[in-house]
Amino acid sequence: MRVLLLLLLPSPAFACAMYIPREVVAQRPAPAPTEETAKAPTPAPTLDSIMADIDAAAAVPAPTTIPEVQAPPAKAKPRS
Amino acid sequence: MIFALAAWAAPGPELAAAAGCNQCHLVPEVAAAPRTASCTLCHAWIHEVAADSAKRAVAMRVFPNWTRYEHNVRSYAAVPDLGAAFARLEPAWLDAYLADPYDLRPAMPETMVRLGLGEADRATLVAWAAELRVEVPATPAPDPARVDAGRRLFGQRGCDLCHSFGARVASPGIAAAPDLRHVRDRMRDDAIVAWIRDPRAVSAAATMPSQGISEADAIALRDYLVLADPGGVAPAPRAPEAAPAPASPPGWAEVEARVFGRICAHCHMDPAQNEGRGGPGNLGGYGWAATGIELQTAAGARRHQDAVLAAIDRRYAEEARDHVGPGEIPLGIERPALPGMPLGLPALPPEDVALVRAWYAAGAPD
Repeated sequence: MRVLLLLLLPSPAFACAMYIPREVVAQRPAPAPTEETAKAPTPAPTLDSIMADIDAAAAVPAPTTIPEVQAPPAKAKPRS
Repeated sequence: MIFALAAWAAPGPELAAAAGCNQCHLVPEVAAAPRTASCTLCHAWIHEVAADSAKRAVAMRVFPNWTRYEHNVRSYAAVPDLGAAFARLEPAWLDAYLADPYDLRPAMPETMVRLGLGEADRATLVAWAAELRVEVPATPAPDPARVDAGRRLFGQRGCDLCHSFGARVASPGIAAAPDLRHVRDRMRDDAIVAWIRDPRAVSAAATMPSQGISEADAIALRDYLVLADPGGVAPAPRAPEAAPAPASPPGWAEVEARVFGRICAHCHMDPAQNEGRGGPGNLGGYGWAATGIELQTAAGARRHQDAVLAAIDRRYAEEARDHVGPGEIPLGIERPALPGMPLGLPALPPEDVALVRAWYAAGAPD
């Protein structure tokens, strides 16, 4: 983290990001879509967004048993 | 300003985060890793989804191997909270454990991973842990005259329902409960008494519930644990036994399902398939440098044949310390320079070793 800070601090990009007030950034008009950006493919969903989509599935009462799930392993460890 | 910012990050938490301690543990002063990068949170999520039919239906559409995940995810579910650990553990023991961990929980297949941290980094972590140690009331020194009373109380108060104490094996036992043969090394005498009396008074993160044990009984229990001979036996010698080769050479699908995808790929991911994540075994972590070993694809497994086979053998050499059964005593071993694989998990069963060897012997086919 220290190395990262030392690398970032002298960077003009970091300085800009630091000192442009958030309101100014928020009010800046979005660039008009170009032909290239308009045709850009939809980015693939991230794992995090996939997990969030699954979380959002309608909750229903949990089944009492799930046949596909095995019982937890026995206490004793398997010895080969 | 540079100096102010550089001094701002506390070295202990910073190092714990860099080493990836938060991928398995809850760590004081360190943000939990996102569940996409956390063993325990991802496994807990899989179990949570498996218990909800609506979520499970979506998951099964999205992940072709979903039922395989449900079947396989059995490890890294109960992991110590480092806040509770640092509150009570002895710094000297912690330093030795980080350098050369051993199996504290014989009923749990997984163990603490061997770290690649050097002496200075360990000292940083241990000094930070020592700062978080909780002061507890002083108690009388251990007395052999109380051992028999402690031995009786260990059964009467139900301690042995969860914990083993050496050869006195827990029944039914809780996998996350450590073998108390080690407590005399891990904790100060006073801290043991305080913990027995009310763990959550020592650390709010304690998972052991308070049993309402009086101070006198807690002292007797402590004296039993620190003075009695716990007994136990040395683990049987382990070696990669020869298992018969499979009848026909396996293809990648079989060896991936049983070994590479089920185990190795978790730490040796292909960054191209995982939004840049390569896992600690590929891009570095747990104090180890990056290796570039990717085992999520047949091409990666093919490329690293020698490293894979050597690491599987090394794990067998570590079993006597890293993977003991109930009633067994972890042994001191000569650690190889590089850790055996799978890191933190038992050595592969002989039939899986035979499968991997057969796949390589057949030219590592797709």
